[in-house]
Amino acid sequence: MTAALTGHRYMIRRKILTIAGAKFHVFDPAERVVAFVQQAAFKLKEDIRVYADEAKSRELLIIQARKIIDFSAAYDVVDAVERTKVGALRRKGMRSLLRDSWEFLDANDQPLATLQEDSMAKALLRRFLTNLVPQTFHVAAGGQHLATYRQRFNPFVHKLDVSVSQGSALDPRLALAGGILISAIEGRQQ
Amino acid sequence: MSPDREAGNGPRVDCSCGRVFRVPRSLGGGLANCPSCGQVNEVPSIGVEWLFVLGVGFGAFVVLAAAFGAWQAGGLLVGLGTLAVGGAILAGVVAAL
Repeated sequence: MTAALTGHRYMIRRKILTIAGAKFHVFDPAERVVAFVQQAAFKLKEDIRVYADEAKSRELLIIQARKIIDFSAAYDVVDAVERTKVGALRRKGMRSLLRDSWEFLDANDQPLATLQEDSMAKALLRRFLTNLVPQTFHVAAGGQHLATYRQRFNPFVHKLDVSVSQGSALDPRLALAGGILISAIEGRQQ
Repeated sequence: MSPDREAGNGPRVDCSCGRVFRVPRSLGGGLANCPSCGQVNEVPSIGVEWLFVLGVGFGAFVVLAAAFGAWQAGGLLVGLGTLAVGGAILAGVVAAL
């Protein structure tokens, strides 16, 4: 596995002033850029690429939607170096109307863990009153906490802290892909 | 669980290593690892994406309806303009007499 993707803590920051598509930088706790993310524009299917640097010299991850339009969209996550599928993330469309919910799936589409917005009250507050309340998501499997995604309060630039629990069974590549999808897909809906 | 199992009549994937396998229908349009060599393969889509087709169809309908409406509105404006010009000419003729 690529060294840049084995960490347990990241910060994903959306790049402002992009002409088409979306771009993100991924920082490690020492504030070094460990990855650069580009969401392709003008593509029917959602296609997100994670590179080792902004020059896009080395591709690390590919996040690709299965369908053009899907209420419960599923995104496959591929390790671009090993050319193997790591797993997938599936958005629970109906549940996410009120409270964002995703499912982490393994390479054979078997559920691994669930990702959910912190609380129903806050989720409703964000949807119907103000989206200035930063979002927090928790990943858990069988009652065990695996990771947390915490949005920083910043009305202008989207920043998301990714924190994978020590000893977590969750593949760090999937954890990072989850953070990128939250930033790219959920962020766009606001 | 192996992709071959429970795949039933799911989409068929031909890997470059020569292995042919089937995957569950839910993976249609997505990606799957080959059970032999482990390399990722594209899974063909199953059927038509009806939501997309409906969206495109509705978009085309809206564009056509807007064009038709503009054409009708244009015709109405031309008609009213002709009526106004005709009325003005008639009024001028009546005034001259």
